Amino acid sequence: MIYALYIFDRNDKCIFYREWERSKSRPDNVKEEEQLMVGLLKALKSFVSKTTPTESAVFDNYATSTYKLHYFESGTGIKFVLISDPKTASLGQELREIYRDYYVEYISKNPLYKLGSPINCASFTVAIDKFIKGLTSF
Amino acid sequence: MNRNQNLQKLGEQAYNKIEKINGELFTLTYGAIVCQLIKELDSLDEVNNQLDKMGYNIGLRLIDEFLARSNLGRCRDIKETAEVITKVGFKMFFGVTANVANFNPKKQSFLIQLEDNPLIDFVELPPQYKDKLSYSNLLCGVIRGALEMVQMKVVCTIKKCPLKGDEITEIKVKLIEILTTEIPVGDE
Repeated sequence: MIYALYIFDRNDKCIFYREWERSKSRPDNVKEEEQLMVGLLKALKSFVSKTTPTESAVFDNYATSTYKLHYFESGTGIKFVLISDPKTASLGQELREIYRDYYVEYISKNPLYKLGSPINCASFTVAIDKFIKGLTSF
Repeated sequence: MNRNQNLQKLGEQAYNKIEKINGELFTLTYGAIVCQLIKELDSLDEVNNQLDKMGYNIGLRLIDEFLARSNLGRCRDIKETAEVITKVGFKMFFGVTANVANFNPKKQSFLIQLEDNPLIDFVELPPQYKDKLSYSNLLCGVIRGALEMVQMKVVCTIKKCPLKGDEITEIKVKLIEILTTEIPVGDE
């Protein structure tokens, strides 16, 4: 089961959100939820880099009793977050695919898209839908 | 195999995978853009600026495709950055590789030397443009924009250009500062 996808830009602004089969709806204050998530990710990232026993480490995912959060950050600071059920295997590879085959192709190369603005591109949404629904873990 | 050869191989692979357009069409389109800018703008300085700005906007976006397709991580130092730009970046989007020269660890600067610059094929500059026009200035902008997105603020200038009688195209890149966007935890 995959529940939701968030994309944050390099300034931690949420530029894309999409959900599938999410039974409990988002809190009323969507902004606050996004800020909480950004804060959590930042704290986790800094915790991971401080506690690493070797040279460097990146944070990949964490699981709770009801969901698992998968994380990938591009070199340019765009953050991709997928929420799935806790049994799903790591979706790091899939997040990289979303970056490479969908974000770059539909958004970076889209002359109508202004960097940092919310993604409002129907073909991107359609393509992401198709990709997520085609995953074995969906 | 050492690191440089590795990068070279990576550049080849990336180049093979990427969608290509006709080189002559590309060269002529670029020429048409430069001509149009010269017609529309008052001075050649403005043309240079405009080319740099256009390149900058390309760079801001191009870097994502570069990172996604090359699968490269963060560079350890500016020297590595220089090698990655010349061996992988130039090959991937430009079809040619470049060389790094005069690397200066103290000043954090280096030169990119292009023996073959597809932008200037078929180009001849009228004498009145030779001194002031930086014909390939778009490249400077691209490098500047792309590096800014990975936290490096640089200045790029064209130092040599075959259109002005030099043997090769030479671009100087100098690191100004590493930008930090990380806000310490608990600061928000």
